[in-house]
Amino acid sequence: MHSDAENKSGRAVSPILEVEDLKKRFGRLNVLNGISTKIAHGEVVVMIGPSGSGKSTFLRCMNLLERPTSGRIWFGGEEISSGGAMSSDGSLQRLSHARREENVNRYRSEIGMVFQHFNLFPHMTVLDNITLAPRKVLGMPAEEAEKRAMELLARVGLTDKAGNYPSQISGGQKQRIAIVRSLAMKPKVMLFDEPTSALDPEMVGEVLSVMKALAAEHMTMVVVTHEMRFAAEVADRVLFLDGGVILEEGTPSELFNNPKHDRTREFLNKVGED
Amino acid sequence: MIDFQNTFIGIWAWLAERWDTFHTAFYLNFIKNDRWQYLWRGLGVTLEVAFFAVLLGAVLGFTVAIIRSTHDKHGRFGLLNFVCRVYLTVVRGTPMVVQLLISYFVIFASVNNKVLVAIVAFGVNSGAYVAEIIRSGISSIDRGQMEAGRSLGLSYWQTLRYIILPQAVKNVLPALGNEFIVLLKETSVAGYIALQDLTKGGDIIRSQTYSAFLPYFAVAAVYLVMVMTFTWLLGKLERRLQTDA
Ligand SMILES: Nc1ncnc2c1ncn2[C@@H]1O[C@H](COP(=O)(O)OP(=O)(O)O)[C@@H](O)[C@H]1O
Ligand SMILES: [Mg+2]
Repeated sequence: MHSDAENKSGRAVSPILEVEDLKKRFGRLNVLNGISTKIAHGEVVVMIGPSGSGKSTFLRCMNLLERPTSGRIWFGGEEISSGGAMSSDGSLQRLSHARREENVNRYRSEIGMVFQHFNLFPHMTVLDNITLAPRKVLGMPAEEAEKRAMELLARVGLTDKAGNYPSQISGGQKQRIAIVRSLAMKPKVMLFDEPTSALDPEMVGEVLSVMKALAAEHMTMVVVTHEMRFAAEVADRVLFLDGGVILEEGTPSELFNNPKHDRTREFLNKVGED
Repeated sequence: MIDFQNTFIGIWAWLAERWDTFHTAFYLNFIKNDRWQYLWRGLGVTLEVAFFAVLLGAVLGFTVAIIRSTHDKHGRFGLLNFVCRVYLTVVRGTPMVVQLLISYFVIFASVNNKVLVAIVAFGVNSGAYVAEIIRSGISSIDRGQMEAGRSLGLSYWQTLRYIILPQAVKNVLPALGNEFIVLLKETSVAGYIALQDLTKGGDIIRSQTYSAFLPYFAVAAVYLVMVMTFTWLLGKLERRLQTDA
């Protein structure tokens, strides 16, 4: 069902995420046209590609914010795009809407997502933003959730912002808080959708360095970004998405120095100009 | 030369006479036979009906708004959504007085408790307006908020409760406050089912004393004071919510 993938060092490891022939259509628009890939434990995958190529849709399908039109997604060996309706022998069982939702919620709680526009909850303090999900989803006592939140805030250097509201902090700080909010759920995978695209240039660095630190701790990450330096430095593998398919993939040096496709070369040249 | 002294005496006499007339009228309309009690008890009825109708309207309004929003987003609750739409159309498409009359003389014809019937009629009416206000509040929230909540593993209902609704209500607080004021004033038609509310109290006094001026102005003044107090409280609440976030 899911054979082993190889990471940069050539070591065979079992994938934590496996996507098989994923397709997504919005009305008549075919956005994803059959994507298959395996993401290994601790792997950092950077996804690049022109605007509208389906990068966000792909990420959103991976935590089921979008429902795939067809295809399968395995998470830790469990097929999740059916909402837990598929048993290990591949047969589908009948599940109520509520049961499927429950399974999907549990699955989402194990996958963190960081958005381009942060999406912090503006009516809550930074601390409440971070502790809400651990308390309500994991049932963590408030005290423990707050202690953990403060530890995570310390790691990104923002303990002094715990009592502030999102409107009172900078964009870079917001995004670091958003990352911490996801981490508070102890996710097994983190998805990033252009986490620095909405930031003023001088704030990009502080967010990237938090992400680098995460990668160094072997967090499994899928990152959509235009920050090629970050990709070259941190990624185990780079995917080039175009027209809803993975046109090309490889290690950063393979893809950046020796792109096989004209489309890839064209894209890299364009991005390089900025 | 003007005779200051006589002018002064003239004005004074005129004032004294007006005061006498007013005093007599005041005594007749409010003091005699304890007529003020019509207003006092009527005020109690008005407040009771308005208070419970607001509660009922809020419960109905939130429920309907959530059903409608969930349907618009996920296509669920088809039948319930249809029922809600019929409710909204009928309630908002017919006059309050007619709804009140139908409630009392048709739907709840066997119920003797006029206050209860009025609470239900006004609550059901207000619920329709509250529903549309809340729904507009929900749809004003950026969809990234729902996505952020869901991506953390919160259920749809948890996200609605902890993330969407608090922001939605805050955004439409002025409209909600206005709806409550409208409801308070609208209860003045309760007299149509012979409920002795504040307005009806003034009306009864007029029918006994044959003077309209003082009873109706007194009624108007009481409504005005209530509305102004409520507006002031609402403004304070809004400012308080503004400061955090
Ligand atoms: N919810 C949606 N409904 C309809 N079309 C959508 C929706 N989401 C994305 N699309 C379309 O899908 C295409 C790919 O979008 P997206 O995945 O956001 O691309 P990228 O992130 O690579 O820029 C775009 O043409 C976009 O307009
Ligand atoms: Mg995108």
